This record gives sequence, C-alpha cells and structure tokens, in this order.
Amino acid sequence: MEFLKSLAPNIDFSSLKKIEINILPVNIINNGNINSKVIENKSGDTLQSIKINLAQLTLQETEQLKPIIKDAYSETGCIFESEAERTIKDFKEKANAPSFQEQLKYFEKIIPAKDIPLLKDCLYLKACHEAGNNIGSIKQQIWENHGSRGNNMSNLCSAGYFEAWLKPTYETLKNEESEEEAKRIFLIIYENLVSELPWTVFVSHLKSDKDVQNEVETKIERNLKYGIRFLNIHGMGKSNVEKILSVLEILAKNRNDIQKSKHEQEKHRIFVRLEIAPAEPPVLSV
Amino acid sequence: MNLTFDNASKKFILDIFDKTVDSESFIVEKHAPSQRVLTLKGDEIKLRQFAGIRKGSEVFIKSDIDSLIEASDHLR
Repeated sequence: MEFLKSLAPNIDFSSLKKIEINILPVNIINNGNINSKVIENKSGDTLQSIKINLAQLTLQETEQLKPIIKDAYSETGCIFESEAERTIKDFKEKANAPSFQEQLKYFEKIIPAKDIPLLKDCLYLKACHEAGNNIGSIKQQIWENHGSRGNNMSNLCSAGYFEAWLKPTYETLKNEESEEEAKRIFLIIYENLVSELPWTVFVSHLKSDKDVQNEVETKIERNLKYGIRFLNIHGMGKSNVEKILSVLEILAKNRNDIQKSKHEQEKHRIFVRLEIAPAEPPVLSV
Repeated sequence: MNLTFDNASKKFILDIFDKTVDSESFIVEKHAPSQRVLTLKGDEIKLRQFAGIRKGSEVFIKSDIDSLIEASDHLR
C-alpha cells in the first residue's frame, strides 16, 4: 500500500475494495484527470475502487507495481479482464434467481452430462433476453461452442419448451414408468428434439424466405409420416416476423390442408402453430 | 478486494505472471517461449481470448461464455 500512497498521496486507501489496471484513453485522462496515475471512485466519502493508469506510470513505477498486483492476486485468488468480470457477475446474479435454479436443478439430473454447460448457457441467454439485454454475442458464442445442437437447445429454452413441454413430458413418463425407464425414454425424446427440432421451426436472420418455406414444408411432410399433424414456427425481430408472414401467405396459396390454430404476434415476435388437416379418406369402389 | 484489468493492459498482466505472447499471438511461458499456456480443457489461448487467471495453480480463462460460466462456479 505504501507504493500506492506514493503514487497518489491524497487518497485514503484504507477502505479500498477494488484495483483496476488500465491504460486509459486520452479522452478519459483529459476529462479532469490529466496526468493522473491513480483515479479514485468514491461512494459518498468511502473509497470503492481505484483505476491505476499504466499510461502515466514511469518504467520504474510500472516495475514496482507488479509485485503489488501479484500480492493482491494471492489474496483475491483471481484477476479478470473488466468485461469478463461484468459477465461473470451478471451470470451469478441471474443464476441466483429461483426460476433459473429450479430449471437447472431439474434438468441437470435427467439430461446428458455433456449438455449441462450448454444448459447453463441457454438459461443465461433466456435470462438476458427476459431482462432486455442484447443477446447477439451470447447466441453467437453458443453457436461457435456447440454448433447446431447449441442453436437448437437455446431456441427451445428461450421459447419456453423446457418448462412447457420437456418437464411435463418427463413428469408423465415418471408417473407411468419406473424412474430408470422414464429417464431412458425421456433421453430418446430429448435427443431427437435437440438434434432435429422435429416439430419446430425457429426463423433466424440467416435464413431466407425460401429457406424457411423449404424447412416448413420438409418438416410438415416428415412429421405427417409419423402421424404428427402440427408444426410450431417461432421468430424474433421485425424482419423475421415479416419473413414468417410472407411464408405463411405462400403456404396458404400452395396448400389447402394447413390451418393456423394459434397466431401470437407482436411487433418483434411471432409464434404460429400450424395444424395439418387429415387427408380425405380414399373412396372405395365396390 | 477485486482485481481487474482492461483490454489494453493484458500484456502487462501476463508479464506479472511470467507469460508473454508468441509470433502467432498465443500466450506462452516467458522463460520457455515454445510452451503455450493451456486452459483446463487443454486449449491454447490467444491474447484476444484471454479473460483472466484464477488460482488452482494458475488456471487461465478464455473469454467465451462457457469458460466464464465455468469460472464463476469457482468464485465467491
């Protein structure tokens, strides 16, 4: 602390909670802090944190600072880049919410262990979305780390399928089967759902109108083979809402066996459930 | 006490831990530059991916969301 005092004799470091190491841009330095080596951040009269501006330290001072930071690290056990620290704090705060914990604890017992980090990512993404935070970067990272499985799982989680469909499915299975058998059957259903999204189409900005139309028609045909007579379509963002509406118009012109049984639409969100009418029974000639 | 650093100070922080960066921007041991630092998953780390260090010997953490969430499990 003696060294810090020598850099900033006017600061009382007794209540210091945080040290930030920075190379501050000139515009910040010039904002009343020209030539400052240490910039304090107070709450009332109490010192909360200091920014040490490496750009203003001499070579000798920089060398003197190194063992101070190493000692502080020995005490804290960690050192993080500021943006990473903000993300970790934000995750911890959101992960403490009862709904987050409830879903994590429920599903981590029944999904494959390899999917648990992805589940945490997805629950965090959902919490960020619900809080109105920008989720583009998290979605991108989930895609980069987990590929289409990550994309599918995050879409299912954000659209509420975990609570509204997977959980009731497992509860039903548990009532009808032994726990071991319920888990076995659940895993088959879960695996099919996260790898194939059989009855759901999530429309993203990466898909063209034609891509969406093809995906909808392919899934309808495949599902019909297995007696599944519905398809859910989800879209977020104004352009995706418009894309889905345009595809629905084309489908309505092309097919007369499709009906919308649900249509929820806001400016930036759309959910449509399509029901496929049973084919006319064949006329038997006598 | 909390310790953080900004993006521009990464090399200074690495230097404190006797690390530097090789010609391909991977973090390496200062005194054994052919030895690239590894994460717990065994990944090499580029400077732009470096998000921090936590104890448990020296655990290097990447800046992607999986790594940060995993790191949060080990922090108070």
